[in-house]
Amino acid sequence: MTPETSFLPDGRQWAWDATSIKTAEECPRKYYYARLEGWQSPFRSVHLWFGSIYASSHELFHKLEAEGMDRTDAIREVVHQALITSWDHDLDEDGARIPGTGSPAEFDHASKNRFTLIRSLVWYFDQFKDDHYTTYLTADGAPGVEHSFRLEVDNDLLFCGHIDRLCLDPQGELFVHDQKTTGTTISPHYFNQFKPDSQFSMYTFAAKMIYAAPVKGVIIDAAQIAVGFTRYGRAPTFRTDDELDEWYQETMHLIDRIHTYHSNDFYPRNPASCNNYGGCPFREVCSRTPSVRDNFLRASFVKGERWDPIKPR
Amino acid sequence: MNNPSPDLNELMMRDPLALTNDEIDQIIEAMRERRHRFNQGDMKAGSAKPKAPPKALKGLDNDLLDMEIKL
Repeated sequence: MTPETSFLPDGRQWAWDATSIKTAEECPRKYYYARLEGWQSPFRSVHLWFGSIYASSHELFHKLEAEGMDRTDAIREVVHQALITSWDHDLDEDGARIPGTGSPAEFDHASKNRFTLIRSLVWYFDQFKDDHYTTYLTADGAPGVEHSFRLEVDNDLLFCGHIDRLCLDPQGELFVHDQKTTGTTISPHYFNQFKPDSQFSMYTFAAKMIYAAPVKGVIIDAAQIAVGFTRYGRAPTFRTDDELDEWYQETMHLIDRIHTYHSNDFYPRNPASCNNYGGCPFREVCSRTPSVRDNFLRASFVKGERWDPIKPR
Repeated sequence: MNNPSPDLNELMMRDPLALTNDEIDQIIEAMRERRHRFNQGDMKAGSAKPKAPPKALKGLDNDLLDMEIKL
């Protein structure tokens, strides 16, 4: 029977993805508010919107190429789909887009918008038109693209996630291929943030298990999205078997701690993380005396669905 | 008379479900042209805003008028 939720009847999370793990690493209280309770900003995040369409567009491109589509046709199809996805059509009762309705998705953001999204895709495909990284083919000839994984691990836990693409570098080494977008200048310092990093450790760990192949790490394609241009950078982040073993042990300990917090009905704050990544969105809540925090939560956030890694997106 | 090709911003404002392959190719080519200009050094080449027309040279037209009258 396919489990329908990532949570046990007592509320403990048993299926973990990189998003859940990273939030729990940052701060148990943030994990509780954001992942368990589902508190989220009432406004659509331009960064999530932009990054999601950008990444899925690349995934579609590699899938179409692997299926034998001509590069020019694949780029056209990818651009067309991105144009559609970034247009807010009205939907019929079956959820299908109604032609002739709606308008372009709009955000009050100077550099991340529909125009720069399409620009960034077209410029990327031109920048890397002679790319020496090729899509890995499995033993039965299937391309290593669009792989959603579920891995049973120790303590009756599940690791799950989605690998966009597995690729071979010019030397024939295997890597997971991931796309990132940023507003900052891409430099060696930019890529330093990805080690240590649980997302890419998990992807490398999962890819080695799924494909039973010696995956070396992740190739990161970074795109700096500016008002007047998009610039690109590429760098690998490696993971040795020892580093993956260490990450695995640390993650098991982390999940065990989170389960203990849940059993005690108390998720402590990690004040050292409050100012990271532009500032935690719950800092304003956590800075209030406990008796009024609920009021501030309801004033600034809306309660959405709990983050459920097992559910397909 | 041939209708002029729609510019990039106009194409981006059309319902994408109604775009033809030719129109999508026009969007792609327009974006490529902007990349070419960026690579030539124009840091704003990829901006969505069209370039402002050059400001009129004040005073020059009056000088020309003067010349015509004298002629």
